[in-house]
Amino acid sequence: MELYSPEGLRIDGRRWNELRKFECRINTHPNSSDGSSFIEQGNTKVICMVQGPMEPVLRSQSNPNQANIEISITIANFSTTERKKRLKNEKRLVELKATLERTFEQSVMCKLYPRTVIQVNIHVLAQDGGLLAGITNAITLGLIDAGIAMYDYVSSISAGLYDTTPLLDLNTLEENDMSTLTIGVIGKSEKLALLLLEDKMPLDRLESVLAIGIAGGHRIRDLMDEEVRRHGNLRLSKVNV
Amino acid sequence: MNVVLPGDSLPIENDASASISIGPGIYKSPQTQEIIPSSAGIINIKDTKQNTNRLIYIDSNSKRYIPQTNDFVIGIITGVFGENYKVQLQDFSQSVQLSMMAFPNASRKNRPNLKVGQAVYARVSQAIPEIDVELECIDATTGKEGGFGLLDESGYIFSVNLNFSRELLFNQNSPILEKLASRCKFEIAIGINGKIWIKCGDGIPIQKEGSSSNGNEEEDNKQQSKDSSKNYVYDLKCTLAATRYIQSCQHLKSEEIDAELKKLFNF
Amino acid sequence: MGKDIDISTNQEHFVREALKLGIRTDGRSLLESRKPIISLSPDLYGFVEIEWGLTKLAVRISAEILQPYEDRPFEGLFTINTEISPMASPHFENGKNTDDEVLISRLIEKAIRRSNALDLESLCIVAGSKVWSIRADIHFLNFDGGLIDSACLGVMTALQHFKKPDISVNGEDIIIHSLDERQPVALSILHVPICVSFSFFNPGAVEENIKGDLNEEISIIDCTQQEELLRDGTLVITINKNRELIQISKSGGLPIDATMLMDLSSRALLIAEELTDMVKDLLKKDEQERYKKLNLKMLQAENSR
Repeated sequence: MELYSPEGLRIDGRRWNELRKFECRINTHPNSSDGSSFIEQGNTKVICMVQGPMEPVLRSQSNPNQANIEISITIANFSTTERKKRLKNEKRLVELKATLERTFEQSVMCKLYPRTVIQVNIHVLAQDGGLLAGITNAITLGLIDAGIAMYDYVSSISAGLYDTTPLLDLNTLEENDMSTLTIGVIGKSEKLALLLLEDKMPLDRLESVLAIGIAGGHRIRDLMDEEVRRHGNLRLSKVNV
Repeated sequence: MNVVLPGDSLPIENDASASISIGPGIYKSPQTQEIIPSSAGIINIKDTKQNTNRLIYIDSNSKRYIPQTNDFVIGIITGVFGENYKVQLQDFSQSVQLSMMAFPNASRKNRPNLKVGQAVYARVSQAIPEIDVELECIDATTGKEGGFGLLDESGYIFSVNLNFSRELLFNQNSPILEKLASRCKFEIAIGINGKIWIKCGDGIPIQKEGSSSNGNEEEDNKQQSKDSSKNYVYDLKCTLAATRYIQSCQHLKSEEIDAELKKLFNF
Repeated sequence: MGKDIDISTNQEHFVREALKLGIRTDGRSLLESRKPIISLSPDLYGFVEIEWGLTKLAVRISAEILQPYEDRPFEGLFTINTEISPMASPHFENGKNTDDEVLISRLIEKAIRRSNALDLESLCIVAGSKVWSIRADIHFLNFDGGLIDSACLGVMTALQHFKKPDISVNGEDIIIHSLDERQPVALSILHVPICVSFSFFNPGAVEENIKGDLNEEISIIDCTQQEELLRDGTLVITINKNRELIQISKSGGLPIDATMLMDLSSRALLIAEELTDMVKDLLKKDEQERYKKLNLKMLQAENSR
């Protein structure tokens, strides 16, 4: 199996700097949540539902200075080719959850909602690489739909390194075989809220992978922005009638 | 200097003529009226001039501070409930209460405005083990401030051993602070709970809340801060050096103090 | 983490103001790491104590023979046990794993186990039935920040120091030779990962950090407990001497400019080089010391004859 052919084609026919099909929708569950979104990044599918800001169930969860963001992640048993039951307190999931909470604590204006909790429920329906990136994008859209004040978009994408070529937006096959870097970019800046590398990568190649990642993040931001505007205009048109 | 341990008998003769006052570390058995040591440490016996009163206590270094009435302490406000502040005297200790009425000129309408995280210098007004310990920021004899109250952010707070803070507070002959005074001007508050607040010179500037939106004024402020910034850098360095000096004095012999002072203030 | 430590606004204000001027409360410069003191056990193999400022920890490596996992018959087993007990600080609670503690143990796991620092295939004795199982137990004895950095250094030093007893294989039978009988064998270490933690402080307003172009964020290396309580964000870079990044984790926190992150990674490399060499020298000395002792014993045996 060849991950990157000499002609410059990847296993699914993309070039090195091409994203997979990125589809997103907001306000998918208008009745059951305050904000919701659904994203498809290639074959990775994530639903996000946001409740809040609301009163916390426990008093210990309330912070007099700012809102608490609580994220719970459910990964469906059927999300991978091999059916697998996952425990909620698996270390990997706890890490993922903590990472996401810390990312959004900085980009949401938590100070505006003291003594409240923002509950984010994530459902991963299908996994095909870029899990953390997909979840991050879904949460960003969900929070926007819920009308929660944020400084800017957090758009996230994974990038990898095949030999000396950086590849953008990896799928599972590619992710298993090369080191993956997941980054979260704030808006159109070059500032990173999130940076996660889990396998070996030569130091001197980091820059090129980061560069393609940031560019990819900006592209994702534009795609999400398009959807938010489309949805906004749709609602506006209904109001005018 | 004599060391006694719990179980030892106290080195005193049973002299009924002198009345005995007992201090920390001494226990009086209610049944036999016998006095025995209850902690390990150096015993201190002090007689008054007429030999009418005798004071016995044991000096020891413990890690955990247990509030006693009339102790001067530094506490950090961790919460507000009702008309009380919740105050922390030591990490992982039970918090104590500071009533909003226990400030000078405080009334139901004129409450002190302290925020969570701020520090106060206070006196333990009530320390009964069965109920919550209470503090007050008021000099009970005059009804005035008496040096208590908010310790502002221009100074730094750090921790020392409990016995060292007692030494600094009660030992008039201690050379440590005098030597420090030869180096810089400072203001200090020593809490017997092992916390010390110190500010050298004018301290570091406190950020003003809700700074004005007026452009001109901001410019003025900038100009001002430029003038004072050199001073404040010096004051900050002094405060830090003083902090490290006091902290290292805990472990130094008296003859090493001068060298340490010189080393830390060399900037 | 477990119970909260309440920190006064006085301390916060002072630390932040000082950092803006490039001063840290313990007198270090911003990008200066504390110098670790490593003590190797003179008689046990694989017992190491690290003093990293006031942070202290002990690492013990042990080995036993077990059956491998069915799907990986040629690979030995390697587990790293990081339990943070209240022994380190009342801050941590027994048996309760908070998010921070999970992050710490995941990071150490990723830095060492996932990066194949220990060659697992060399631990195989009889494929499918008998392999060495290596276990690293980290005990945190005192806590003053920098748990990840010190734990990673401790485990890597201990792994290089450890020697497992020699064995001889005879079909399905395995004879384990005691240390007196045969010289024990060192583990095969493929590379030495070093973790470097950076902490970020935001000197200005949040808006400036996110929207502005000033990039004034302050980054410091190896912070103490007090700084850890006050910091706005953190980044852990694991790197080895061969200029290979092993792991980077910036889980949220203050957004940081990409170019600054690049600078920090090259700085991490310098620290990794320094620490790797330091450990190497130390182990070399220890080896020589042991060799000397051994020679002495032989001489004594000759004399008594």
